Amino acid sequence: MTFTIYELAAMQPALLVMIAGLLAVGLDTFVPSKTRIAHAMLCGGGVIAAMAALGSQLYYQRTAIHAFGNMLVLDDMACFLSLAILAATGLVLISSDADTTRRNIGFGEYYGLIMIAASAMMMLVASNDFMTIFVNLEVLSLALYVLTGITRKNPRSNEASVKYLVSGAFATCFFLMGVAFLYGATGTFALSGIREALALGLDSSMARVGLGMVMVGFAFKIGAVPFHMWVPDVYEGAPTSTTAFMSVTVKAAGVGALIRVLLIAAPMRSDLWADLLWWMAVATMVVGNLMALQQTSVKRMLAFSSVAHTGYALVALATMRSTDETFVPEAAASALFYLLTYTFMTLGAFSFLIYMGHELPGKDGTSEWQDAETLSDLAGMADRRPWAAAMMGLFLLSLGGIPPTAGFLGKFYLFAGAIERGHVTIAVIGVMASLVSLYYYLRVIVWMYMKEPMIADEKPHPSVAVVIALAGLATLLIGVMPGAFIAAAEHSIAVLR
Amino acid sequence: MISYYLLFAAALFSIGAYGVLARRNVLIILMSLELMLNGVNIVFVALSLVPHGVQMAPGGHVFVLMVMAVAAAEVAVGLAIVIALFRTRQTVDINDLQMMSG
Repeated sequence: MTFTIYELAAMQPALLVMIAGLLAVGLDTFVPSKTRIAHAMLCGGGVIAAMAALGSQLYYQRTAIHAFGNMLVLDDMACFLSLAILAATGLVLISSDADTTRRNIGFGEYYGLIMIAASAMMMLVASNDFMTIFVNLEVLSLALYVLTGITRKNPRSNEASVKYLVSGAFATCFFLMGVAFLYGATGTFALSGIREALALGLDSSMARVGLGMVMVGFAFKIGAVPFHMWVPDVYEGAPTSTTAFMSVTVKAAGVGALIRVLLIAAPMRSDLWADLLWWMAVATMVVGNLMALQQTSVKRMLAFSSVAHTGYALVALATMRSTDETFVPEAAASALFYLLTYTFMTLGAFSFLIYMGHELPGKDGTSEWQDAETLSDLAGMADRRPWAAAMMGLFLLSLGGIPPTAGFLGKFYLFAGAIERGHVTIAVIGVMASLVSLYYYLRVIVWMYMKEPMIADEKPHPSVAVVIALAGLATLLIGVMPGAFIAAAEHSIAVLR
Repeated sequence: MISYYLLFAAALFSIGAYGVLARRNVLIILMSLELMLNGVNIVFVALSLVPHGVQMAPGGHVFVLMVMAVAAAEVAVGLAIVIALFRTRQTVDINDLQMMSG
C-alpha cells in the first residue's frame, strides 16, 4: 500500500487539534505556571484552524477524501460531527478557565488532554475501518480517564476515575472480541469489506455474535442502558468542565461511529441489529428518566438525563428499518441533528453549575472550590443572577423539549420520523418519557425562581458567562432557524457511502 | 486445529472476566484485564490463519500489535490512577469506593 501526501488532508483537521494539544503540554516548560493565556491562545487557535479546515472541506472541496487504504474518510458526516465536537471543545476550553484556576489544575496537561481527546473523536467519526475505530476509541477513553481524575487530591475524582477505567477497559475487551469475531467471519476489518462479505452470505453465527459484541462496546461508551452504570458516578466525580466535555462530545463521537458501522458494514442485515437497538433505546429512555427523577444533586440529575438523551438519539437508529421491512438510512439524520442540539443545551446546563461555584472551608484552614451541585445551591438564584438563571431555564426547557428551543425541534424531528416509518410504540414511549423528564427539569427552575437563597457567597467566573451566553444563543438559534442544520444533517447521511 | 487455539483464548478471556468481576483489589483487576486482552489477541492471531477466498487475511497480526500498544498505555494510565487513589484514600479495595451512590 502506498500513500500520497494528499491523503493527509483527510486527517488535517484532527492533526491540527492534536498538534495544538501536544504543544500545549510542551508549553509548560517555557511559560510560568500561573499564566494560562499562552495555552488558551494555542488551543483556541488549534480549534479555530481545524474549524476553518473543515469549512473549506465542506464548501470548496466538497467530495469526500478517502485516505490510507480507506481507513479514514473525511466525508460530510465526519465534517458535521467534527464541527459539533470542535464547537463543544472550544466552549469547554473557555469554561475550564474557571476549573483550572480554582482547583490548581496544571494548564498544560489539562488543555493538552482535552485537545488530544477531541482530535481522537474527530478521527473516530471519520474512521472507516475497525482498526482506526479501535485506536481512536481508546485514545479518547484514555484521555478521559485521566481528565476524570485530574483533580488528584479530590477523593471523589479519584474514585470516579478508577470506576471509569475498570469498567471502560472491561467493555473494550468485549468490543475487541466482537471485532475479532467479525474478522474471523469476514476476513477483514474494513467496514466496506465486511458489507461485501455479509452480502456474499457469510453471515455465520460468528458474525452475528461479533456484531452484537461491537454494539455492546459502543453502548458502553455512549452510556446506553444496561451499560450505563458508570455514568452517574463518573459524571458526578469528575470536575464539572470535564463532565460537560465528555457528556456531549463522547456521545457525538460514539453515536457517529455507530451510525457508520451500521450503515456501511451491515445495512442490509438490519434484522440483526434493529430489534436489539429498539429495546436498548426504550430501556435507556425509561431508566434514564426514572433514575433522574430521584436525584437531589443537580449534577447527578443531569448525568441521568444525559443517559435518557442517549436513548432519544438511539430511537433514530432503532427505527431505521421501517415496519414494512424497508431500510431507510436517511433516518440517521435525525440522530445527527439531535446530537447537535444536545451539545449546546447540555454544555450550557453544566456550565451554569460551574458558574455558580462557591468556596467551602476546607480541613486545614484553606478553602476548597465547590461547584453548584445540589438544588439548595441554586435556590433563589433568579433574583441575584437573573441573566444566568434565565439561560439555565432556557437550557432546562430545551432539554425537556419545550418550543421554541433546539431541544423541541430535535425531539420533534426524531419522533415524527419514527412515526412516519411506522414505529408508533417507541415514539409514544419517547414522548411519555420526555413528559416525565419535565418534572425534574422544571423542579430546578422552581427552586431557582421561587425559593429563598441559601448560599450567599457564590463567585461567578466571567469566562463561564461567555460560554453560557454562547450556548444559549446556539440553543435559540437552532430552535428558531433549524433549516440549515437539518439540511446539513440530511445531506451528510445522504452522501454516506 | 484452530478450535484448540480458540478454546484456549476463550479460557483466558473467561478467567480474566471472572477476575474483573470477582476480585476486589484494583491491581488484580488490572491484571485480569490484561488476561482478557491477551485472550483477544490469541483469537486475532488464530483467526488470521483462516483462509478467506484465495488469499489469507494477515490484518489480524497487525491488529494484535495495536492491542498490545493500547494495553500498555492502559496499564500505565491505570497504575497512575491507582497511585492517586491510594494517596487520598489509603486503599485499593474496589468495595471501599462508595462515596457516590443513589
